[in-house]
Amino acid sequence: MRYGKYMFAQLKRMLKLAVGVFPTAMLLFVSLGIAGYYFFQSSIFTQNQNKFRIGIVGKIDETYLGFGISAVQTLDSSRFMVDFIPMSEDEARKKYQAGELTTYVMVPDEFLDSVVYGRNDVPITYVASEGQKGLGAFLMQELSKVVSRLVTSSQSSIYGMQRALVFEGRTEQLDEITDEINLKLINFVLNRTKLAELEELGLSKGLLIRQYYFCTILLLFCFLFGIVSAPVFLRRNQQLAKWMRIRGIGAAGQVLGEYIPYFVFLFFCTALPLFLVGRATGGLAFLRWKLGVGELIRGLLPLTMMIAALHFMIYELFHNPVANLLFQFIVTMGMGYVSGFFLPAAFFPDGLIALGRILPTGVALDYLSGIMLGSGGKGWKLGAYLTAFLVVSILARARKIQREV
Amino acid sequence: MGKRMRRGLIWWYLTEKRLFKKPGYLLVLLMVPVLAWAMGRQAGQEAGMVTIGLCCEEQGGLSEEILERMISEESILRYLRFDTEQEAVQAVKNGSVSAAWIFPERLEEKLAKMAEKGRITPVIRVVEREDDISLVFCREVLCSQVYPSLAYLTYEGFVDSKLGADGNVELTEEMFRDFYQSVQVGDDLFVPVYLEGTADSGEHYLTAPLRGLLSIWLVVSGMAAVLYYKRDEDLGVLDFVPAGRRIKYAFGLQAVVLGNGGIVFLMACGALEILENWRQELVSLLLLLGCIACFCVLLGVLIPKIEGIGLLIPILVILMVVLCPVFLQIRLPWGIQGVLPPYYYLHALYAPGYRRHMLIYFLIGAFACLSVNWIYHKRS
Repeated sequence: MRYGKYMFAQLKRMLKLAVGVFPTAMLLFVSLGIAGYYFFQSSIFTQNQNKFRIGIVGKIDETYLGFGISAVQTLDSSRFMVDFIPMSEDEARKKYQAGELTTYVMVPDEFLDSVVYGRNDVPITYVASEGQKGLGAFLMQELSKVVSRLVTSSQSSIYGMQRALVFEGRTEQLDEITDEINLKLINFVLNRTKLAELEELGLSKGLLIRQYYFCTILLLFCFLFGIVSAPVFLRRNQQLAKWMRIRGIGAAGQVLGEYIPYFVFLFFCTALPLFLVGRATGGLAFLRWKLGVGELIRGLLPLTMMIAALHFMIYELFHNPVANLLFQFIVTMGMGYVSGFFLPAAFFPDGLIALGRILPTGVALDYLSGIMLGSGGKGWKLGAYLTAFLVVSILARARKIQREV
Repeated sequence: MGKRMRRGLIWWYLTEKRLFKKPGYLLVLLMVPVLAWAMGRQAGQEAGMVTIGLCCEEQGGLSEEILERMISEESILRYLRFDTEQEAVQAVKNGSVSAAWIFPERLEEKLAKMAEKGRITPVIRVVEREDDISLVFCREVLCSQVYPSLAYLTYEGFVDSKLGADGNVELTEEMFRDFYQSVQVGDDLFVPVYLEGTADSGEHYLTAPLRGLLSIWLVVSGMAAVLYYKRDEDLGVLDFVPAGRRIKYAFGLQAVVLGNGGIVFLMACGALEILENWRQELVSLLLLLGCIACFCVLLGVLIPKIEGIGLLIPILVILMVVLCPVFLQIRLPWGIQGVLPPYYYLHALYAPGYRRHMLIYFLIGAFACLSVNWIYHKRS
């Protein structure tokens, strides 16, 4: 009965504080939604909706290069991936900074001569990035290797053939045969992708990229909620624990009495906007899934239980707001990064993937992915973390009471 | 040493003592470089943006040669080798690889036939679960790896057919190779540069975002210092100072917390091995710390309640992750990004002109803090 009263009192306190915390939680939800939209739209994985747009700076009119670029734009398989747009450097710079170009390349006047004579000593420069390198810059690097490989192998073929003819004294046919091999190689370059025989198994690769990012955004919201709820924990009366102990409510009773209302609050703040967005979007139809919002919300119960316990433990261990905030940031962003909240976990080395999976963030992501796929999440891992966090919280509270008494 | 200076140093010492009294703070500070070090070590391990399963149906032929070249080259694709076709396809089915590339027997013979006929026919079996843009890109890489062999065989076939039996000297395989390699063409036709023309630093894609995350962590440190200051105000610790003059304590607390954070930041960057030029790094970091201090103190003055500050932090974190060039380059036309200090810092790494922007930001920020504080307290 005593425990029930304590919990009820905490619930009332939570309701009072919710007036301030709830609107901000919703603001965080909306911010995450907008941020997630931008993140997804700018992701390299969605470029099929927006082709790479590459600005070409330099004199290319009436040159073989200009002819080559228009050939690539009309005949090559890359035309479905890339748009080349000739422009001045100023224009390219402005458009790049305005986000209208993926990158721009600067073609020096001597470039074509250097390629024709096989020197390749006047490279094309391309803007890899503005500020810190993003994923797109790494992709551009790989793409430049692909193009270089195609051009330099063709060059070697042509020059090798010319050397052989000169060696044999057949110089009278040199131009004619050079044209012939050139045409053959151009044909090969334009049809290179036919070397691969594609076979699609038609199986879904688990989550679609939009479903994956939906999961990570939802989890980011839940984990960041710990910072939003700072007033709930930082404004606690530090003497209360001692008083409650005197009134017969021990560390375990206190922790559970405070934890349960907090968990209910976190669950409510996660489920409500999800429900509203679900209603507004025809059951989250934009995710292209078969699951109902109700099932997702039910699946959130164990997840929010674990995350609420984690927040509770952090606030029990770190009373100093500076250390507390920094620790929460490390947990959410650091562990989240390793578990694949920002870059898909498949990008990481095996050791890091394994580490990411056993961290609370990784366990939460695995669980939510399972729910989204309809295969059910691995609840026992969540349960193990939940128990561990609550036990540590109880021990920390017991120590605090002991020190104060 | 002046009296004020001495008092300031004592205050600094006492604040540090207060912060480090709880082992949690030291633990959190130490965690950052340790995690960065671990991450830096992991970045050296084998990894890739897309994992491809490779399988070769013949031993010792051209297929094997291409496979080995692909595996040994540095790339953002990661290759796993499988002994049999079934194993590779199974790996695609169970999701451990994104695609399987199966190289056939007698590849050289097949390419030679294509070179002769001048028509490309499919030779490499590519098995995918579902086609997507990243796999289209991967296939470009695959074809560019096979193309040099096709180009060589085309050259060989051409010379053979054009000279045939009419050649004065019969060309040996070695001579063919020598002619082919006689003109040493450069390997790379492209040079990546940054917008300001500075050279590419060659960072790893796993460690590149960490500098951005660390700069966001510094902003969170600054906001935590504001929370600490607000709590001190609530507890009456600063009651001996008139409200209008308390701003210097807010800046002092920023200096202490951000000073510790800055040292940790440098240690973490050192552990990640991304410190290139010490002097420039230090100048950029000091400017960043100045901008963060102004940004956080201004928010502290504008938002009087501790709850408001606490609630703003996660929203700020999300805004910075998305709007600053940490993972992506998103450009918004309304200059919203310009409010966030890490935006300038991350640009200043490769465009020194942005350091001037940071200095201007700092001066405007400091002026804004003092003005808003003066107006706010005069009114109240």
